[in-house]
Amino acid sequence: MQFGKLNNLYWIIKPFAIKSVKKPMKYKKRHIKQNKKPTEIVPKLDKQLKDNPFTVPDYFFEDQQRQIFEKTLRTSSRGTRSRQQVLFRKPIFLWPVAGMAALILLFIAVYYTEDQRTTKDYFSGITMEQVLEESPTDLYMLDEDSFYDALSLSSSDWEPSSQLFDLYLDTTISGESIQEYLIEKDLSIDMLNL
Amino acid sequence: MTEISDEQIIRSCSSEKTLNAGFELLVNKYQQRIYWLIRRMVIRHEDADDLVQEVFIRIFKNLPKFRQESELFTWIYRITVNEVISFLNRQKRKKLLSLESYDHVLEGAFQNDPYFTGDEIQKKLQQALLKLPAKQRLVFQMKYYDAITYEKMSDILGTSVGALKASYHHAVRKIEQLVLDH
Repeated sequence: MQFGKLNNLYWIIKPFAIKSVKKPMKYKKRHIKQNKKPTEIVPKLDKQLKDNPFTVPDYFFEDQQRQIFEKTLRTSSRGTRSRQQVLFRKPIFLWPVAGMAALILLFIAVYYTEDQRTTKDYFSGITMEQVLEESPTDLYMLDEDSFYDALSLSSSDWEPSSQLFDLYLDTTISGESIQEYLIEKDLSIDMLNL
Repeated sequence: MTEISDEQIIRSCSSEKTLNAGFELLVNKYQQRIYWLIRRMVIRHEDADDLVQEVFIRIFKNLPKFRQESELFTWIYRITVNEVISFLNRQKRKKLLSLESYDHVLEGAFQNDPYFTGDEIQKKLQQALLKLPAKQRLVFQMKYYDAITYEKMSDILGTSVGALKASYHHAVRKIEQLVLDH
């Protein structure tokens, strides 16, 4: 029963199977009839045709090689290695680079903190008397507000000690005594307009 | 003098120290083969010269990426074929704007070429070849002149062996007809 089914199937497939086999056979036979190999074109001319009909200028290949190497090998020495590879290719380069980096960082840290100190901080550390005695030109660095701020910070415990201020603040001294003092010291009355 | 093997070239190119020497070996081995394949396809010597240089620059740039999944020879030829096909397509696109077809330009180019020394029959063959589609011409050149096997050609072009055989036989028949007709 099963055999009968297969037999029927064979007769259905057979026409297609024969066709698919016959096609290349026909094709091969045609070449045999014509006494030609399928891979050979115009057999009489075959050898002659295979000769290269093109030529190149003298020393062309040598010049071309040079150009190729110039374009590839020269650029490779500049371009193909990354910066990281160049820097860290050998450990010998690592230590000087690390040292330089540390120095730069140290310099930045010191310079940065120095720069951050304000003029206010500077004047708070010394008295106004010291400023006037040592470097009075530093006062020009301050604007009006900063000057009063600095003055208030540095002069909180300052007490007038000069003879002139003693004289001015002492109310028991008469005007005549003051005038005498001024004549003696060769000073102008304007000095009292503090 | 024995020809240097591809394995030796690959070994040299895989190390940074010997990369330059390896690449020189590669150029020495393949330069002329690649030039002639390109020359037969693009006809003009100047175009072939430029393309060969572009091919080798591309090879050099991609050498570190070469994973040896295919043979070096196959890989180099694949790069070459891609360059040639894209060059021909570029030229065709350019010529679309003009009245003259690119095939006609090529015919004229090899007829006036000072570096073409072939006789009348060879001229006929070249003219017949120019009438083939680019890919069929490529298959014919690789099989007929370079004697590359269908299997290797299949790896290079990414086409089945059967399709390549058919393409070659179609090309042969067309050329035969064209040469005999003239």
